[in-house]
Amino acid sequence: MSHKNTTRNHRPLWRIFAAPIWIALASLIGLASALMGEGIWNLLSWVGLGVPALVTAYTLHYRAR
Amino acid sequence: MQQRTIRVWSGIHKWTSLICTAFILMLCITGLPLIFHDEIDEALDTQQWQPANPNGELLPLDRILSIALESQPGGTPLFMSFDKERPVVNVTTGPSPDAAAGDMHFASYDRTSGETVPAHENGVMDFILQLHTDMFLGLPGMLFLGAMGVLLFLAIVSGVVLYAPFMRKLDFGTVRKSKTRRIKWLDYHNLLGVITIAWLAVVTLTGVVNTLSTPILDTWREQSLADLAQGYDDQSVPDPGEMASLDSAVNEAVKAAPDKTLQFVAFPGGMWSTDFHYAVFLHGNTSMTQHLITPALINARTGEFTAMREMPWYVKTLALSGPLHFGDYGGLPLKILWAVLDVLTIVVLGSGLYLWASRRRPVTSEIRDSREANSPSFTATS
Repeated sequence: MSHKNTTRNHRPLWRIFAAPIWIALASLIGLASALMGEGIWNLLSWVGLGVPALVTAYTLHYRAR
Repeated sequence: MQQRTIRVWSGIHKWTSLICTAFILMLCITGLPLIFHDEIDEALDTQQWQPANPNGELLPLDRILSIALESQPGGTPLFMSFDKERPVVNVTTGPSPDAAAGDMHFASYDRTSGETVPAHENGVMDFILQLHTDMFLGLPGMLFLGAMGVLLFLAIVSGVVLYAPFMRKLDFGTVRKSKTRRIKWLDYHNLLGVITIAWLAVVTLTGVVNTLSTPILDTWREQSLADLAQGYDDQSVPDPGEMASLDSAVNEAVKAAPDKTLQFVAFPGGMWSTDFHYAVFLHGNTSMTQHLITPALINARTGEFTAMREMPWYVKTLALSGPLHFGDYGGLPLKILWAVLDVLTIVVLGSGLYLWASRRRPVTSEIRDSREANSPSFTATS
């Protein structure tokens, strides 16, 4: 494999961590929001922590090759 | 990242994981039923309990306390707590004010009649809870599991660092199922690990804080309540017979904080009070403040109101670490998500163990293999 090829295929750090950071942010919002209140806050917590669960289901179903 | 740096982080990841994995697996597995503790207790509770006199007058707390003490000769009162949805008072007694958890006796009483309320008999769940909390080893066991939590946190951090070199040439979410078994499980480990990371980090750190409850409360007593315990040098912890009326103590506390709700009373001499005061704990009424308790301290001999003390930050941290660890603060859907993330964590631990057991070569060659597996010329060999 040529050096040029390797460089081209390299993903920068921000790209490697972009999806994980969004998932982590959604999780943290989910964890915090159920502490803030009932009703809409609980709903927000389910959505927030639903993100890592749904991303797992999605990637395992569509991205496994 | 330099090869040497990768090797150092890989060493950290390997050793912190190896030491804690068996214990963390135990915690994940025992934690799974504990998430649904309330639902399981309710399902096993066949008889529907009703108060003896649903519209009757409530008996004074002093009366309930003396009934509880009569049933436990020689016992001393430790805690009294109040059910939210039924007129039930729970009294914990023990052989001494500083009795260990294992020696305590817990009984529930109908406030309309003074009769005992049948307890939830659930030995299996109690066993699981004890295993999860301290492995039946008391404080040392608890602190040991806390140390395992610290190692898990280091494994999480080092795992994030190692995620970068492994993902240099892969898109997020890639699982190369058609390659070797090892590469497939490496991809699963990296993917599920990074997806669950924020949740697992929070559950890990709050778990560690929970294991520190004893030293945290000791510090609180020594720092926040020390001045209240002064001037009693020649006195001992009052006997139940010397104590002032509990009802008037509770009334004083409720009067001092009309915007709060009564949660429990800690008797003098235990973890949650001084040697000379009733500590009447009240909680706020908003979702945020309902987890935060504030004690009103009442002189247990004279019944005189002494002080209302807001908890310091470290006790508030401990209080919020409860719900954030147990996942019981946002309805059943949150509990289900908690269980899903717990199962994913078990997969991360299991795949990590597999990757370690089937290792052949240093981590840097591993990263090269993983990258080359990506190129079309690579063919699966197993």
